[in-house]
Amino acid sequence: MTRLIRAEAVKLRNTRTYRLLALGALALIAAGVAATSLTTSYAGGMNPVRGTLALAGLAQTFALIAGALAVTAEFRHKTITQAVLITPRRTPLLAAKVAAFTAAGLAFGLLATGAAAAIALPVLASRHVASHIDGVHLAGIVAGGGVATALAAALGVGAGAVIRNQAGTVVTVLGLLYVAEPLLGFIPHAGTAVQTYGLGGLASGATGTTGFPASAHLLGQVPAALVFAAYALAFLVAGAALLRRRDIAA
Amino acid sequence: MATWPTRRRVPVRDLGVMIAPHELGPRPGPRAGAAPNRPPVLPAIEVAGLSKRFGPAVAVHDLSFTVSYGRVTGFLGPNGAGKTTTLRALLGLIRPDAGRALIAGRRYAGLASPFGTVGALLDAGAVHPGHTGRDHLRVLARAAVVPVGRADDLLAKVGLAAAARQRAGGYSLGMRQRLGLAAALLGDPRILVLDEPANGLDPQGIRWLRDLLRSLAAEGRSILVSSHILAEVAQTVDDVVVISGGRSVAQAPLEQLAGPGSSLEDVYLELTGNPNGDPS
Repeated sequence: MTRLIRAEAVKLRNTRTYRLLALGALALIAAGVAATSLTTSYAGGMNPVRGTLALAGLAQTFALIAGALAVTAEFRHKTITQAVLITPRRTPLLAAKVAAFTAAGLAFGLLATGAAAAIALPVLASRHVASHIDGVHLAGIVAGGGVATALAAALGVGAGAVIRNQAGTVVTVLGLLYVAEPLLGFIPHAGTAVQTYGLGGLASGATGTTGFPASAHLLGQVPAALVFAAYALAFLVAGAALLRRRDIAA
Repeated sequence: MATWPTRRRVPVRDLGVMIAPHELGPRPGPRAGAAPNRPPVLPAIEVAGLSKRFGPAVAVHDLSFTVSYGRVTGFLGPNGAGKTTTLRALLGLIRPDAGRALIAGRRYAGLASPFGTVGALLDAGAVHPGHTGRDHLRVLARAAVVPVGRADDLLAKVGLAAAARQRAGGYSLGMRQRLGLAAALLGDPRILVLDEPANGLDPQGIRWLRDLLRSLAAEGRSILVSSHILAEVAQTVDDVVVISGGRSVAQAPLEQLAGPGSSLEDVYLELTGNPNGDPS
């Protein structure tokens, strides 16, 4: 298993796409957090820190895409063939990807959320906006950012293994996060469940930041992370079962 | 022993009995090569009664043949004959509907060290375009627990040392074939399965490939190689397996199939039901 995780680590390090995704996410988060903390009035009872750091949730979106690419690129470039020839039992192959990308996701989530906090807090302080948050809760948000990003990467690996097609996976994931969930959230009654238990709501809950809409009822950090982990596990189990069963015919 | 297929249209020469090449032993002369110290009893590759459908399409039907050590076996057939399906079934990539495909007496997934037993080149395009040739091999080496330095040795062996640090996306088809061959050789396997390895190679590359395959067979390795380039096959292989429409139509040593007055091409076209070479 260690050998497979090492191989995945080499791929992660040497593939430009992942570097570009990470840099793109960091740039967007930094710019978004800086602009928001400089300009927002934080009316309506929203906690300024939790509201601003919600933007660091982009790290989870990018990790989800990176995890999906980890699997779909193997099919797109047909490198899955050599991978399966080296490791005929296909489940460890997927497990190694999950391990490598979950670890990378954790590190990236901590970095992205930590960087967002490092930008937001001084800016808010300079504007004399009371943050209403102590060190312990801030640490919880950063840790939650790490955990949620790691889980998002794992979910991406599972979704990639289920769908396989690269464009199809990315469009499905982005469509779900940014179109389907926000729209479904407006359905009376049922919409509140989507706001809480949809991927966006769970990510916000796990990071302890403000959800969408800001009035959304979210689970606590630990329960949200557990439900998120259950989603990721469900996709991974389905992906592993399909990977075992499917022919690799081209 | 399998019965002779009904599609055979060649005149009966000495093909009346299907002869598994491993039963013949090494041929005398320069192609016989150095036999391994202890010749294995099992054939390197054994395909028996293999069948596979994709939906309504029959890809392979009741296909049987064997491949022995120390020899290069040409695997021939028209486009869509089922060659790639057979090779993929052999390597555990697709699940046959019936029959068995064994390597060194075992299913691929049952091999103790699959990558060290059989090396395969199935698709020269199977490389991430953003990775350098060196990175590609190093990833495989890490996963297969092969010393990473062997990747550099093999890049030199296949003539890619100068291009090792270039992204594979910029490689020509010939360069990708060479990289694929290096990947196949990474585990130092005794058995090689190569699908159209000569595609995209220039004349120097084809000569290089022929010499490489001959030298690998001379070391006692078993090589199963599919190809459409019959003139090249005739110069490279010891044995020939011909399939058509997913069925076996001939298996014999090359000199028994193509003798004086009939080239491998003539025999192949007759065996595959198109003696005039008309487009189908």
